[in-house]
Amino acid sequence: MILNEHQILERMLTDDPERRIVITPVLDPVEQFGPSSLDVRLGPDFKVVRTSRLTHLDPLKEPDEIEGDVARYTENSVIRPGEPFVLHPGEFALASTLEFIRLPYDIAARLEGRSTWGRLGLEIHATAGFVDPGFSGALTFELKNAGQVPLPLYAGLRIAQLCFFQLSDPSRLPYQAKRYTKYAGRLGTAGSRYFQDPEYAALRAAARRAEDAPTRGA
Amino acid sequence: MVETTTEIGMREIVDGIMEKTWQQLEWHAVARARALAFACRLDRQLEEVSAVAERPESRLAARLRTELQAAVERAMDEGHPPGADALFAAAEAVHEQLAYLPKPAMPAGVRVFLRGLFDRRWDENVVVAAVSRPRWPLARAGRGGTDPDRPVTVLPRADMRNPLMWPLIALQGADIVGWTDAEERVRQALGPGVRFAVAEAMLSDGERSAAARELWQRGCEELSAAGPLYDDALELARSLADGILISARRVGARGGDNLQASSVLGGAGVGGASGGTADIYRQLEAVRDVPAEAVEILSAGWIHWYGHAAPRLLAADDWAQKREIVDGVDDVLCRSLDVAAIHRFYATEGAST
Repeated sequence: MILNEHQILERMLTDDPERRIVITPVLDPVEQFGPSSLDVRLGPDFKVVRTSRLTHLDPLKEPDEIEGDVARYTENSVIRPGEPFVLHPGEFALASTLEFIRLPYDIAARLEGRSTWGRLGLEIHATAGFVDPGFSGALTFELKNAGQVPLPLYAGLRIAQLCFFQLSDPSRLPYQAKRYTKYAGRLGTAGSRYFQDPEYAALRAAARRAEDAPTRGA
Repeated sequence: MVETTTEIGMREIVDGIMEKTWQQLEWHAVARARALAFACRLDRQLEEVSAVAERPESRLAARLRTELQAAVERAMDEGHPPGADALFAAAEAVHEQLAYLPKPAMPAGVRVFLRGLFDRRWDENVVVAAVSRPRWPLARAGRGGTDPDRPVTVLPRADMRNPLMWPLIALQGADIVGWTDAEERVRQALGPGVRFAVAEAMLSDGERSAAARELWQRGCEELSAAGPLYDDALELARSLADGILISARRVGARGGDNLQASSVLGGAGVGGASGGTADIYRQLEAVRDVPAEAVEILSAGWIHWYGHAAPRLLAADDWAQKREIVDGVDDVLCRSLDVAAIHRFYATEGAST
């Protein structure tokens, strides 16, 4: 069931912490609420990959080494109020919601773009628009300018909307409780931690074994 | 000795334990928590430098982290409980070696914070020092004006992402812009937390004296007696303990308005859609937020620090846990100040009320 504006409001106002949807700050509820959605705003921090010295990302390096590589190749930028971040055609950047969001265990959400920005070519996520029950923190935008003109983006602009789904029963495996969460509680823009996926540990081990094995026929 | 909050449930904290805890924290615990947190902040700085530096610098930073953590462990083992002096000594020896390493940029929020305070009467230059006891121009601050040709302020590098100590920059800035009664005016703008910042700075400046303790106690008394500011800060501090951003206050909370869903929605409740468009617009106003002021965020931050985070830090077992506590406080306060500034910008310019 998708929540309507009354149901979203009721969930935001309830005293029961197990049912409450936390979204803060709400700058202008009249502008932000839709019939079955709530607009969310762009936060002030961005991450852009500097490609000039980067040949490729090697997921089979050790996690600490990859983390260092990612930090070296990532440019962090924080804009002040009224200052633009210009996203050029074809460019990709990570950003996050201005809002802190916490979902109860019986509510999931979906992050969607707004048509106002879609018409200008702004994509707000590449593939990861689903928000699990129990999520807490700022949501990440995967921004891409698919249009033909540079887009100056300002912190606080309403570039996306959240719609909420009620589960028939609360999840027993909410996001915060999952063993392998990588982004729980992040308050700002977080880069990918793909290399922490346990599958890569297996791939690294296999690659090391292959390197160590004596060459057949040598 | 204050009871640590690790054994106390979140519900009890929300019910008022925090208020009692922060007011009962003892001075020696304040000093130890400050020293331990300073070491954690230094470790974070080294970690960040290590990630972006060239390889030799990165190796040095990694080595310094190991030395720092070992020195803190030794200091922790020496005293029962360890004194702040030993912990500071461990951190200070490593802190000065930051001079060999690249300097990360100051958080953008510092300038926004200072602009809100000084309204562009100062170019907001801040130099972060690779020493934990910056002597210049701190010594001149508030004592007759800073050299106009050196219009910068200094802050130890370990504290650059610690908004609770940013009032120290404000105190020096007030001197630069030529405010008379600089300390008093900064305290009016940023609240009793300024006394906490100065008292804690005196701890790392070798002035672990009765003067620092007296200053800290005055801060406690003034904050407790701050009326509406204290009430708002305490409410925000409860949100901090619950891990929630404190950039704003819900405007409906003012004047004793009842924010319960049933009263606001007039019984429409779940699935309800009674009333017309005017009704729903009126109901939506219940979730309108106003930006929190810096004084509220910092006051809430201090209450949270003394009432929740510092006791947990002192009771934490391993280094990762200590870092998580300190990083958590700094991150949520930095983000809250950043988001509040953006919120305030739109509120001031008329895009929201």
